[in-house]
Amino acid sequence: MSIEVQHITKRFGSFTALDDVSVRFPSGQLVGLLGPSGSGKTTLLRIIAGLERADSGSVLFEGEDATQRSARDRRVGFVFQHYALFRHMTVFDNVAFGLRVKPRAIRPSEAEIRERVMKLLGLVQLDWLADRLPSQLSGGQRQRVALARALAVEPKVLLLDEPFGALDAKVRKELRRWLRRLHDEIHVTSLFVTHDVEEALEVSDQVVVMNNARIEQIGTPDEVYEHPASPFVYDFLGSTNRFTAAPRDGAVAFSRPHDIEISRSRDHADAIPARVTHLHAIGPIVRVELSDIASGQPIEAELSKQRFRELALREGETVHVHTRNARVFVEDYSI
Amino acid sequence: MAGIVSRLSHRGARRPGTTDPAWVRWALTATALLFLAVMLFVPLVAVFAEALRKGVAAYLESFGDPDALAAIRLTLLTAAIAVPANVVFGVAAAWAIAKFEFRGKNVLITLIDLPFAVSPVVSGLIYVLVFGAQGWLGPWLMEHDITIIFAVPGIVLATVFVTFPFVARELIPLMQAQGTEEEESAIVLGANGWQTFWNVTLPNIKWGLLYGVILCNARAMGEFGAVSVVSGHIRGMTNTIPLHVEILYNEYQFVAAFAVASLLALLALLTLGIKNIVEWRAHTALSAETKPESP
Repeated sequence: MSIEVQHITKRFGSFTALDDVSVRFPSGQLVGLLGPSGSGKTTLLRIIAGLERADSGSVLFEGEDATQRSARDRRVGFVFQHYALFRHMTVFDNVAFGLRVKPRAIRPSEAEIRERVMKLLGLVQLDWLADRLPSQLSGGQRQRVALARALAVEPKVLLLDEPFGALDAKVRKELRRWLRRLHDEIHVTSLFVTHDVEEALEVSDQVVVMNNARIEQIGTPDEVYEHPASPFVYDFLGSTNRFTAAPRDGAVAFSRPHDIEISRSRDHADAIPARVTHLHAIGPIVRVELSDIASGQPIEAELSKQRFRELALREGETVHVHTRNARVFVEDYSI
Repeated sequence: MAGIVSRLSHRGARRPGTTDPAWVRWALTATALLFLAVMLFVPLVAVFAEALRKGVAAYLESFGDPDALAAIRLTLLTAAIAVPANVVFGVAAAWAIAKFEFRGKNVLITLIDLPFAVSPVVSGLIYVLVFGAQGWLGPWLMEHDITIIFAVPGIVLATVFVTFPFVARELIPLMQAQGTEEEESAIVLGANGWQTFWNVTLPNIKWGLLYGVILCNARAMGEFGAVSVVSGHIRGMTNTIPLHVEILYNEYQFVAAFAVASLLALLALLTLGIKNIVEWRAHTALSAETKPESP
């Protein structure tokens, strides 16, 4: 089911969480809502779920106005950052909840419920934990139970609010790959909120980058990473070198650390002299901190270990740097 | 009132003993124990000793008195109305305060605390001033032949007022700590308000609620001041157990007075016993929830 929000505005007191936001999420995709905290992404998700009411604007499900529909009637699945499992119910009863509260006329029989719940628990690979209480599970297991519970009512949309935010780094990575595979299996339109760039870029079909209550850019992970629409997106998506010494007034050039080339001789027309201030040689990538000799501006570069050995860099040395790939924004903008 | 949440958190954190010298620890412990013995334990023993001074037969005979039976009946009736009323009110108020944002929330919280802040005598007088013959609503009530003051309705009202805060105060911090996400989950899953309350909220607060009910009940049965003002002390009609004890005592019927008083003392012991069981159950339930995650 496709979702569309039109001109949504939401304020909490004097704080504007969403400022005239319009976006369309096509059917069957896994979309990442990416942005720093306070950018309005969770509020947008909660408005789509019906847990929050927008001050103005409308929410459309499959082209149909659902703004006035209550959260109960929207048929969405919602997964919370801190799982929000019913703490006094077993895993089985948690997943069965959505089926058991249905009006008697459309409620499945206990036998059908049992079958459906066990199938879902099988899908999230937790059927062996059906009789446990949530408190007896690990964080990753709890989140998978929360997902099974949300899927039990066959939602038309799945909304996930920082679903992996409370998990440690390793489980996070496993679980997001697993979510991607799950989505490829069930194809329900899914929106997930995250402030983790890597997570959004790795898992999503589309990424919606938000900042300051507005949408900055919508596109595939490749598009937003390779062709950022604004200095904010460029900066938010990775480490950035910023050069103000630009050809035109008000123009700012950005370049990623891995696009900075270091050489011992001045073999490039644009190369500038810089001093090596710090070296961090951990893992396969070597991070080099330099300082522009003319302006004193810091520059960050990333080299492969092999290139680093060829150059045999030492701290305090003067070298020549140029960028292979810079992006120029002509905007009144400061980071 | 500290609330079950904070009381329980103290239990969880057991620190090793202090490094003070042994005699300091002993002196402090002895002082506390001595104080408890003189101020609490001796009076409690005295109640039963006095009640049983002329033997078990005389003790039991005290309960055969129709006035004593009437007082017991009235106390039970009062508690049977006041406790459920305050459970409904307390849960509703705690729900509203903990799960919603609205204007005047702080005023509501302050109002809930009011009965704790004012003297019980004043609580009683408020009702006399409003419902009494010379009170604001007195003439109107007279016209419609409704008696509240010096009658059972007045006693129930005064008791409800005095025991107002127990349930709400117990539940507010508990519900605030639990947040609203579970309720939101239930609603998104299609549950209506009643199903959400019954299946999600109530099971989560049951131990706190029971704790509040026990304290509320103990106070409802033992309240003296406010009830005394509105009761009128009509024997066999508007005397509760505490009022009846006072009358007997003033009439030098010591055995009967202490015998009836021993009922209240037993109630207190029972309350403490149940309270401890509830705290223990709530503690095990809470520690099961917060147990460290295993991978």
